[in-house]
Amino acid sequence: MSPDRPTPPAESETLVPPPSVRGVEAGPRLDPAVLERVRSRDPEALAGFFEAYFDRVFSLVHRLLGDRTQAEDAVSEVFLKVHRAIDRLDPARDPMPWLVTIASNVCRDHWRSGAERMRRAAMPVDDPAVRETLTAGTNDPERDFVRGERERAVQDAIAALPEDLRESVLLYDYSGLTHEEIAASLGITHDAARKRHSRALAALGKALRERLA
Amino acid sequence: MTHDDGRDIMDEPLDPDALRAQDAVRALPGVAADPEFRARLGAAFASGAIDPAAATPAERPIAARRPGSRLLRLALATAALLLVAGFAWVFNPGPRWRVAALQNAHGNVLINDEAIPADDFESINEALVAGATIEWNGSGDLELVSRGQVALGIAPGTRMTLPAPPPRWFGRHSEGRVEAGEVRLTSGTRFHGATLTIATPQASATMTGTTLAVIEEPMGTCVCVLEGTVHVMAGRHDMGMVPAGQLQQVFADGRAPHRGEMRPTERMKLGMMRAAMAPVLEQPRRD
Repeated sequence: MSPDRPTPPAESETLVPPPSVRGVEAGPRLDPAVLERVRSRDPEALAGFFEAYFDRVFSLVHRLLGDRTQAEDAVSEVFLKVHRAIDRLDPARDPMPWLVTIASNVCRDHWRSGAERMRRAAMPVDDPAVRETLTAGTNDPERDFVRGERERAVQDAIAALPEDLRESVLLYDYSGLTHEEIAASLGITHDAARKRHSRALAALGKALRERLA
Repeated sequence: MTHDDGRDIMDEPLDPDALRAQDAVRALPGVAADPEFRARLGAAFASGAIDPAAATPAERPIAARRPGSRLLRLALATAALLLVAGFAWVFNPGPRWRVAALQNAHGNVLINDEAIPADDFESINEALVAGATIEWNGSGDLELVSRGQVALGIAPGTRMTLPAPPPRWFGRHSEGRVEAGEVRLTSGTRFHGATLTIATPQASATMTGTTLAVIEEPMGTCVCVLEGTVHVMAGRHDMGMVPAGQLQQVFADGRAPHRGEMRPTERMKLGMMRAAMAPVLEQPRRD
């Protein structure tokens, strides 16, 4: 555990979440009436909120951290912060960008921690969680095998990126945030967010050139 | 302004390799969480148990003092001194460890190298004596309780030596040991005045009416305290009292020990354990 104290929820985590765009993992969206009950911490509504968003948040956190145990720790902290700040949720807006902002802040705290520096030497290439995906297999074992190998290659390449580039490509291309939302989340300019994303894709493209051709 | 596919119009053009990489990232599927972890976190989130700091701490009733005047107590003590001493010696040991009434554990537990199914409560209870070695590699936490005194949760992957339940009246100190894995403890009303030490290869943690976790991991020992205070020693070095909400780490490679905020996952796990075990700890005596 690092001597650094974890970052408390940033101001942006409690503000009205910015307008969202179609994300690569768009899923069911709770209607405003339900979100109103979530905001008042109605247990049934909170359970529905968790069911609606947990899988997407966990997937992002796991892709960012690359390890199941760390992802479980981090996503627990994410939902603790969400629970504490839930009364400030705007029922008229999609909560996903807000959740993604909190998740990426938690992951950034984790990267800064001493424990993460100790563990980075052992990147879990064979983490079973990466193989247990939410997509159903086809009836073609060979195709499934090739798809699995491809996914492992992509995940390995993402894990090998510096944290800022990894975060940039996962927030934009995996979670569907805009550059404006990413810039607000990271406290950088819009241009800086775009450039970081371009650098991330260039690095990934180079790493995957042989595997994806 | 965006293209139809959502890309910002002002994005610089990407080369073919970068475009292929982008498509590959967008095609990545979701990652499934462990179902048990997911269910546990979801239940804690919905019920509010995820944030024990926000819950009103349950008031712990203080044991009532035996009524009676000083003169009466002196008379009783004088008349029944030998009888009481004999009675106390026989009945001083604390309530035996029992498997908790609620349990989600599945698999075999090794007690003194004998494998016992986790659902065979009778055999496990019989084997749970002070000094027994326990190795648990099943699924779910193995939960034991010494009624009124202390509840002990043993996580999968743990090897430990079981402490004696703290005695009821005198010599109220007992010790156990964790060689690897994680144990969580929470005390009941009758624990008041007792101490229980859990030692690891690097450190020891002594509880005096608390809820805590002792984690023995490759990096070293981590003691997380949810409530109360825990005294931690690292060999002969006194780490002091760890207060509620804090952790103490003692590293196996000799690095300087670290004190900090307790792990969020431990805060949740210990809060849930305390809430779940409170009614089991205080079940009325049947004997």
